Amino acid sequence: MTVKLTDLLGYQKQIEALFDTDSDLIVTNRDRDHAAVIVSTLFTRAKKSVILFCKNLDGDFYNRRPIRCAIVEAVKNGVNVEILVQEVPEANELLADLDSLSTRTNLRIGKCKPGISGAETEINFAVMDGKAFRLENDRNLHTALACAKNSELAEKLIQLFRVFCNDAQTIEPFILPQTGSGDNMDTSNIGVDGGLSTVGR
Amino acid sequence: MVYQPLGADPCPYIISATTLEIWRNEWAWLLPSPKADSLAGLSFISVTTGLNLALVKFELFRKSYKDIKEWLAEQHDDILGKKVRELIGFDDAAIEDYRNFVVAKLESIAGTCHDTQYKYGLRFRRWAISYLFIGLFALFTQWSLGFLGLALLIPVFSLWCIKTRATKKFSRDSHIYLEMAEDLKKQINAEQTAKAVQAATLIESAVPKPRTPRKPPAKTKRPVRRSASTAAKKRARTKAKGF
Repeated sequence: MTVKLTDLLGYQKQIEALFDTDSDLIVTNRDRDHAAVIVSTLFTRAKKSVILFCKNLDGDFYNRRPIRCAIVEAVKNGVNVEILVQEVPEANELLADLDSLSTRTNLRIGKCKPGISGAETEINFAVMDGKAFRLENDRNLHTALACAKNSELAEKLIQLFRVFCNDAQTIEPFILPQTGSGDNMDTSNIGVDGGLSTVGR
Repeated sequence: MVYQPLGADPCPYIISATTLEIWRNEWAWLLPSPKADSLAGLSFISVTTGLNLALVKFELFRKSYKDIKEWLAEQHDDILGKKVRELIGFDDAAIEDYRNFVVAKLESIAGTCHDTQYKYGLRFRRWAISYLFIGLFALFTQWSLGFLGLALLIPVFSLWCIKTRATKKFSRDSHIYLEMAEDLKKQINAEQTAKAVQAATLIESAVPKPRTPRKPPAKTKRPVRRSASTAAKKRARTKAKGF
């Protein structure tokens, strides 16, 4: 366990070094722990925007405290956060946190309608500030390619995200799941609002 | 000091008087004597110079290996550059292997240097102390140190051998290490390109293909065939209705 933790801290240190130096090195991550390091780093380091395209906001992954905190902090700091999921999201705790930030206009969440290309594509990705990205190449193994600065590939990913989003037909509202832990767990609809929807009650 | 005649020494020295007498005869030219042609002074100088030389060589040797890790790390960084340094610690299998190799190699080289230094130092101290005692003994008994000066060449030569052997091994190890670094640099450059291509391909594969609109089936007006009798009936009906 200690070895693993040390390894993970070492990995995090290396990743942060990449972001500090705006390195264009494409690195890989081999498992969920490493993926968590990269995703949380993307949200922590974001200054303008983060887009996240994922399968279902996996609860085991996105409910982890570092990731939740990173996403919530990013929203609080005014970073434009856009999340598009392919299936019904599972990360109840994260969604509950985001629900408490429902007045923010810089948070938009949407879900692809079944049957369209966005819902069926195999790749998931996250892009930060139009330059850093994490592109998952195997959803089952959680292996991915990541880079702190590659505007070309990041731009392509953003375009792809817009393709999935811009077609209003591809976005459907979904209801924040109830966690039963408080008032802010009320079912909150995320309405269609020209592409991605702004979170709101 | 007045030497006792042979065989009449009531208090024998460590080296027997007989032996001393033999040495005195055989190596008379090296032995101290009140005469002006004595080489005692020269012998003493040679001993101290030899010891100093060995000491200086030892210090230099120790200094040269003191920063060995830093030197190797610098060489390594120069070859691989910033990118690969960043990569050490990431999880690609090749990088993992390389990281293990680097750690093992650095430890091995540092270990060898440490062993060599230790051996050198140990030998140097042993000889230095031995010769110091012998030298002091010779000095007190006013025996020539010329012997020791000559004899000291042996440890100096021996130390030189150790150092040369260690340097050769170090050079060989460093060469292998740096060669590996070169290979890795090439491999990583190739991998970076492959990764970029893979990412681009993945993105391309996810782009939805534009849907080609379905062509509506061509509307061909089917000519209504009416038999002559039907048309006549229709006309008759129209007339009957008054249109």
